[in-house]
Amino acid sequence: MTENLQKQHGKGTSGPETGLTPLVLADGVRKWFGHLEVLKGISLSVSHGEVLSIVGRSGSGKSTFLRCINNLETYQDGRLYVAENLIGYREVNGKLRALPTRAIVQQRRHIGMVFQQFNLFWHMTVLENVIEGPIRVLNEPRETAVERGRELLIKVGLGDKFDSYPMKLSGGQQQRAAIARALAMQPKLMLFDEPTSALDPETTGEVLAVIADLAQSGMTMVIVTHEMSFAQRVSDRIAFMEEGLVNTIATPDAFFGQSDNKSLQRFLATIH
Amino acid sequence: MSFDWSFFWGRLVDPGEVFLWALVNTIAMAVLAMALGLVIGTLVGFGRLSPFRAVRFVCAFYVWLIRGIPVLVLLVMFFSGLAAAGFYRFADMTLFGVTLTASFQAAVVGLAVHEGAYMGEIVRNGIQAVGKGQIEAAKSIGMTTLQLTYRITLPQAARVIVPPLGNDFNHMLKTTSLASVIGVREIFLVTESLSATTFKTFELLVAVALAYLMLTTVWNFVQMWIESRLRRHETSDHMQRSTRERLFAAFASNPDGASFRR
Repeated sequence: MTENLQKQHGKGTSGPETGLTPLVLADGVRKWFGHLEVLKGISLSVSHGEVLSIVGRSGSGKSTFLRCINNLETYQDGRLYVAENLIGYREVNGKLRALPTRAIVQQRRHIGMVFQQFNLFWHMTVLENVIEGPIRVLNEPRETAVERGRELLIKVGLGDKFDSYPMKLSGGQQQRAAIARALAMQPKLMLFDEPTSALDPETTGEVLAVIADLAQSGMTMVIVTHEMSFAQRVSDRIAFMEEGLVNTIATPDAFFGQSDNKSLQRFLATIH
Repeated sequence: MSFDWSFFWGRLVDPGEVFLWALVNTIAMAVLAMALGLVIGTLVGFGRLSPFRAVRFVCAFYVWLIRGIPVLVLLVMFFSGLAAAGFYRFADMTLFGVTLTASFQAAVVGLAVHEGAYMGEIVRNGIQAVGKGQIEAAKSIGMTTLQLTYRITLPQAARVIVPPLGNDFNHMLKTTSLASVIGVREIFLVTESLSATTFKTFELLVAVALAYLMLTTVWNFVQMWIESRLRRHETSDHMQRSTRERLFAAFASNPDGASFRR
């Protein structure tokens, strides 16, 4: 598989039509919580280097879909590929068979995730949080991991917080540390699950700046967010999800220009 | 009423070799039973949260059964009961040059089985207190179930487990006295046999009570030190209180120690 982490030129050129196999490919992904169908057949793709934002009301299934991508939730029907690997299953005669935990763990390694509640390991210092994955999962020598961990923390503006415990940091600082922790695994894909929803307005900006920087660097990202102006600024495409389905997916200009899309307009009206 | 003060002080200053060896037995029994109990408790605690129903059932049954039986009955059961029924007879054995008597082994096993049931509940609570987000974060960086258990779940659960575990050990130090019934030469048994020959019953009992008090008090300090170590992440460094301050605060009316600082 071609390792193309360079950003595609211009917005809107990305997508399956570029000729490259998309990094993320969802085809009719469905999921039920008990009797409640929360994903009713999600189909979309994310190219290498593309930034896709997913917006929609709470309960529309956007976070659930994001969590399916790294198997924190399992989908029950359809196909979901990351880097051509079928997530969570292997296909036997057209049927889905669940992968053993070990294989699922392997698939997660190259997918970074940033959570709404940061979820830093609170019993470890910031630097320990960042080097934990590289040392335990990637079996990197400690010195290498520490060196790169420090670099990453400096990059996200936490150069003076290596030895602080998460509880002593502000929400914005914790989230930036969480981003550094995910990046330390050198992921091919980064998932952001409402990364600024738990932050106050003052610290939201500093986290969004870090994510925007990352977008500039050519990282492939899927961002579930409520920050519409941010999504407009950093995304190659924006998807609007409603009731477990992708209502529309388009480049930012086209997305905000859909004056005839009633449900999108209703959603945009409530958020602004 | 007569209290032989010179005999009493003599006991305190020089308890004699027999008593000191008995003290070693008491401490060894408590430490070994606690360690074994912790192993059993960890298995039971995880077992009660197992995805497998049969495992959950067996562990819940164990907790229910053992918590419903007095320790004294358990000890006699392990030492005499099993042998009488022909299931298992403890025999003296030598490990690394130390002879462990049959009664000592039975006592350690009995106390551990008892402790394991209580510890299982404590461990289960501790594991349940670990946030779902912490586990998901560990999964998201590609940790295996085993890795996230010993790197994330257990260290975080330890913060919840350690305080009640410390209290259990305090209890254990005193519960070892029951092992006298099956003939373990611990401090209570040697005190009793000595009182039978000297008739200084009250003096000897006060002395042995003080010995237990000393053990639990020393443990109290150790426990505080461990807990303060585990709390490093909570307060900023300049706010961290010394063990001495914390002990002082424990005696003060306000357990928070706030009045002490002001």
